[in-house]
Amino acid sequence: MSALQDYFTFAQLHPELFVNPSAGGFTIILDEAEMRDIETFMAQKLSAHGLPPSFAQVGIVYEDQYGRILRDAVRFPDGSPGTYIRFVSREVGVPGVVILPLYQGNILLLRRFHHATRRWHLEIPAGTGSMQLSSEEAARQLLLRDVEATADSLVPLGQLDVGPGMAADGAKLFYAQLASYGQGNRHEGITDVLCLDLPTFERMIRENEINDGFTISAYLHAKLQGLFEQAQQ
Amino acid sequence: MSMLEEYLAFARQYPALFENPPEAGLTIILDVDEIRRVEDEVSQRLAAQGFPAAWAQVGIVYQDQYVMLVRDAVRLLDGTVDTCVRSVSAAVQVPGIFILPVYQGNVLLIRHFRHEARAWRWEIPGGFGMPGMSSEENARRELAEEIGAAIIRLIPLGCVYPDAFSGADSIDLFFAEIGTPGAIESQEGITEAVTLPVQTIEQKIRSHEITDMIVLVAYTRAKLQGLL
Repeated sequence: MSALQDYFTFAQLHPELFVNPSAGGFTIILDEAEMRDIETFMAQKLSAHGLPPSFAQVGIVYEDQYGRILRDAVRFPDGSPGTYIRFVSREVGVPGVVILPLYQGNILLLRRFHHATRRWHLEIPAGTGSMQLSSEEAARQLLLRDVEATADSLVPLGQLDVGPGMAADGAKLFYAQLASYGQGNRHEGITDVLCLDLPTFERMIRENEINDGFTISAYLHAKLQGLFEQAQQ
Repeated sequence: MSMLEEYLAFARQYPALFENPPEAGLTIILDVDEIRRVEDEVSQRLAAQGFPAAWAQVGIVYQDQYVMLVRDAVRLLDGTVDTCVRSVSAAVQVPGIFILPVYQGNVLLIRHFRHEARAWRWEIPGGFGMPGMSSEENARRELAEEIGAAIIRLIPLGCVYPDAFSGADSIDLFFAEIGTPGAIESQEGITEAVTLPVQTIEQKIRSHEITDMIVLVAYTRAKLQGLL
């Protein structure tokens, strides 16, 4: 099967990923002749910039056990042609989970080493979801795995779109009141577990010591929903 | 140059992306013989799951004008080995930039079509940083391009990692007091710009009409710095 046939098969299996907006967005082109024209146009444009024309090839342009990169042929709002890449995970549409854990009124923060950045970040527990689990179940498993924690209560804080990025799956945010917690999981890169009062946590966000997007987003939702005030009562 | 040679040259060029600090728990392997052994082991594991052995290959595994993915050989804390893929796109170029624009006391949001979601989202202006320009210069350029606005006052709001699990890419955030907005950049999928009071922004975040991480983070930092 050619790369383009794989792409067409994928488009048939996941029509929701190929929806075209009425106006103003980027229209995905699935007509083969038009796609070829767009590839030729883009290849010339890339060559003019000294870049390989292969960067114009439409289709599934990367794949591994975690997901795929699609390069779509598109038309921009004024009708001009182009290509656009996006990442689609293998478990399409399964959001990640992020949990803001409170223990006795303080926020639990992990010091975690990330392979992608090769540095430590201060952040709350987060990870991938699974098709086999609800987001709530995945959140409870993650608390246990990352920091040996069990939650008395788990409050959904809603959906987060992770951006700007190539992936559309996003994450489900939660707020948890912990019954107990233990050691950070070294195998997950967690080398410290901090328990901070709210003013310290806020100062660390303000001063850029906390720079993890999931952590700050979950904090804002909890704050706007008045959950920190409730935890102090 | 082979794929592995290219990768090793890349590692020499960007040593910060290949740091192995003590206690990291996840050591990147750069010894060629050892990399080959990891590739063999992982390819057997993949084959057992019905996946192509090629997905174990270490190197720069994807590249275009925007994105670069590398697959590293790594050793975990318990001594087991694996391969890990990460995006190092902006990290080898310059950080992205996003700006929370405030016009006459109200926050400006744009309605932006996101290709990956095939849907519109409420966002703030921003995008890739242009190499050779500082983040401040990039912020001024993005505001002029996307909403046709000049900056009266520009204040840094620090940086954010949108997803440290999958990419080394970071974004520099700014707060900007702006002059009268001009034409929006419809070619980039922006269909509308609105200015909203802070209370409305908060209500729309609470009700999940605003779900974009970058808006949430920039808003939080601006609020905690007393700028809103």
